[in-house]
Amino acid sequence: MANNQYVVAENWGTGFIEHNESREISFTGHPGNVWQVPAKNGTANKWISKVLGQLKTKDEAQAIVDAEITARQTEWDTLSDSEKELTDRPVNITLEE
Amino acid sequence: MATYKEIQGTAVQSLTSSTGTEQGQIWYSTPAGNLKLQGYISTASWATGGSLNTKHNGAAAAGAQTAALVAGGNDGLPPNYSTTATEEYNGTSWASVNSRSVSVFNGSGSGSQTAALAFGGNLYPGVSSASEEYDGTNWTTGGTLGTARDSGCGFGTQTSSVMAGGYIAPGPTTSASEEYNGSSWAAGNPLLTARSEQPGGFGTQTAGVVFGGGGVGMPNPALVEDYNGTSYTAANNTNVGHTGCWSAGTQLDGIGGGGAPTPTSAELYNGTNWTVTASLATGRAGANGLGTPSTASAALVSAGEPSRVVTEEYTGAGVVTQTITSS
Repeated sequence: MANNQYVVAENWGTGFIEHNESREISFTGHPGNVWQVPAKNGTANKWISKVLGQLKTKDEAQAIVDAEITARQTEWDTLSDSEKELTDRPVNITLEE
Repeated sequence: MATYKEIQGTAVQSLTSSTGTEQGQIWYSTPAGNLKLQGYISTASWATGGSLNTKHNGAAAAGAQTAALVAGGNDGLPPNYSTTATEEYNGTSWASVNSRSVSVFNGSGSGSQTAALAFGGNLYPGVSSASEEYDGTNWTTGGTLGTARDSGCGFGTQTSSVMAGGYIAPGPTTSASEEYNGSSWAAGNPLLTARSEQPGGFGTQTAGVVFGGGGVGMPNPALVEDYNGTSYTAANNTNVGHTGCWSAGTQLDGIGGGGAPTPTSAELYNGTNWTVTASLATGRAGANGLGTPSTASAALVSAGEPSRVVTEEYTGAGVVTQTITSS
């Protein structure tokens, strides 16, 4: 059984995640505006409604994250050696069930 | 029905205060005109704050959660990957203000929104020895660091700052530490452990903390040192290592974290021990911490890799005052 659910929502800043929400559930932000919150959780479901989050399956969310990271990796790969020293190559992220 | 006095042994008091003094206390607040309960102990949490207008990774930062300043940093744009853009935060939103003159990333900052100091940083190519002072409106040139460097850490006030560690182009990680008196920098005693890659630094020139970081020869990114204005001494390690840190607060009331290998991590420091606290929603390295964890229960973490403009605000654990209603 899935422990997490995934949504796409753009972080607009103040009020996107509020203290009372973050006290009750765990939020994890990923590239591509993908957010991981607990599955089958009332607070999480209310938050998804509030932010007009688009629900994604884990595989769909993983594809969005992968595409974003691949784009960043491709961008990084084109940098000169000295530019590459400024930042690490983005690493792949594997979403949890 | 039993009365409160019959159960508790005392009647509900009328007080002029809107906040209680102990958990479980019930009183009638005369200014508020309602019953109050000094209620449950809340857990620490992060909430999203206002988003920056410009990317500022590895910026110089100063101030508090409701009056913050972020200047310069890496905007991700060639040829020099840095900006002079400066922004102020009022607790709700960021506004662009006068830009600083020196364009660097991985620099350091100290002070407040109306009396800030920005120093060091990566010019790409080269590293900077320049410092600049901000008075809340304009930037002016400050003293020159004895050792040009980037990716170190800074703490203190505009007239009493410390710059510790960093990279000395083109080469090594340094243990050098310098102090600023409002007009010039002077060499102080070095760090016990040379460190770069943005260690965390917070506190004052006479009561500071340096933690984490990396670089060649840095044996453990959990190493911590306290500074007393004269010398550094080894302190208790952080619970996890931190490279590319953010940090804020004082030596007795500090907060910091982030970076590799646990970019969402956050820890509190009480002058002796580190305690893991609520994790950020968004992992970040090269971010800026602002404020303190317990003053007004607020700290702010802004920007960070990869070129994020989003911020998060911290509220520490504490007792919450609730209003009792009949519904």
